[in-house]
Amino acid sequence: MRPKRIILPLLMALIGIAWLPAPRAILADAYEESHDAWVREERALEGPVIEGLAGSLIRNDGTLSVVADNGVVATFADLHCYCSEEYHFYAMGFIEPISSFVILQAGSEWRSYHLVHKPTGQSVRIGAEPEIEPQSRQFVAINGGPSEEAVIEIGHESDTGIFLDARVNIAGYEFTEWVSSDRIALQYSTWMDFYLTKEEQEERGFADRETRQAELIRQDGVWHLVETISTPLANPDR
Amino acid sequence: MRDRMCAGGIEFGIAALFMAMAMPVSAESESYPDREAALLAEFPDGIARSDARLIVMTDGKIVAEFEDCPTCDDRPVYVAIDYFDAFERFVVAVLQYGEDLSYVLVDRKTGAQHWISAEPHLDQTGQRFVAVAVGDREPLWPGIEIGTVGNAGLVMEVDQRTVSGFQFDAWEGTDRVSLLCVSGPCVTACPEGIEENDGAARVAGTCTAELVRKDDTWHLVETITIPLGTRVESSDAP
Repeated sequence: MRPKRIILPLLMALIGIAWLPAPRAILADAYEESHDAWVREERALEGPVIEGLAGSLIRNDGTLSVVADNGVVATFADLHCYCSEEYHFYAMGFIEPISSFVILQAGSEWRSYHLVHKPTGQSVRIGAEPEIEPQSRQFVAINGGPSEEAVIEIGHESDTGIFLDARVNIAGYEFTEWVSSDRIALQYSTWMDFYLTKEEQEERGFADRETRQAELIRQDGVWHLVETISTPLANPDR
Repeated sequence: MRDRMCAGGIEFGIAALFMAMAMPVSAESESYPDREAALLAEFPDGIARSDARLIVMTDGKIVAEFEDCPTCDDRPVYVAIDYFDAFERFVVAVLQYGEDLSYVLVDRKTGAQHWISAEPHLDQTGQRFVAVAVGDREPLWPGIEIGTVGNAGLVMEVDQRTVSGFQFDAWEGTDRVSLLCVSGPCVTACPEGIEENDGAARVAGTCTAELVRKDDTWHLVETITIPLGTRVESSDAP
């Protein structure tokens, strides 16, 4: 073989290696938005190999297992029934600040999430993907769906497990940001906000309607929903 | 017919006035009969009582007349309680069984009547009044009314009939009125998912409310604070 024939593939191989994605430093990188749960699970399953969490997540056909540090195994088995109750579990990733795996449970018209605490194997079920406050190891999950399902849940992780601290059924709110470890800003949206711009709302006469804003505030160790509703009052001369 | 129906007006009027004397009156702490007596003395040419008849006069001519009627369905008793100088109107309370039913602003010159649902309270300038009806008993109208002095005399800025559960507290300047929430934290705006009849939710929360004028529009601004559910223990995986 002439040297030229060796050098070219070698060069191409080197370039290929250079273009390979770098190993993810933490699996939380795999915890990203994707509409395809399988894609996310694939990334999550790849993650432990890189991160030294090997064996923590095990997929075996319709069963997903999480092996905790203490040997406890949390098992999530799909329900295949060809019926409306059917659901499937998908591993969504690992959230390092709360040391928990996120497992999606998806039915035909609903979803919920399980946070599985890696050190203890404990889990909590929540209504939406959690938003994390890393310093205080807290999370909030806000499902702003239809009123019967809408829920806001707040919890925290500690060395002994993962816990839900507060829960309220309330519709229309979305997470904005963790303002501090004791304060969460929320944003209120209606179907109108979803489908119409502010200008379109004004054009259709919807500008003069009630506005809402809310915060979740922890006072004396208890979380409160503080909701302010401003309603324009009817003016008979207008 | 009216005369026959009101034959017992004198006795009833006296009885109702006696009941009204026992009734607590928030406005400036005087009882209604005392306030009427003071008005009659102050405006001898403007308002007068003749047994069960209350008359408003201009230049010796009767422009408005109210007669207690014990045989009428709502058995009204009329008591003059105030005079709003800037509006040039007397305020007449309409009582039923000693409790206030509604109020009438009577133009002292023309006798024109404007009926409102609660006792009006002037701001510090005397140019604007607010009336806030709790609306917690039949046949009281719920509602919030705000009126001011315009070129044509009385101009209503707010006439809102669908709001209940609040009481007037105090004027805070001319663009702000503090209210008292009298029926729990979610009288007009229970967050979705919290049942209006859920005693725990209503009792547990707190409510503050005010009327605020912004950009020439009055708004009812309620702030509801609800403590969220207590700590929920984590669960085992399904």
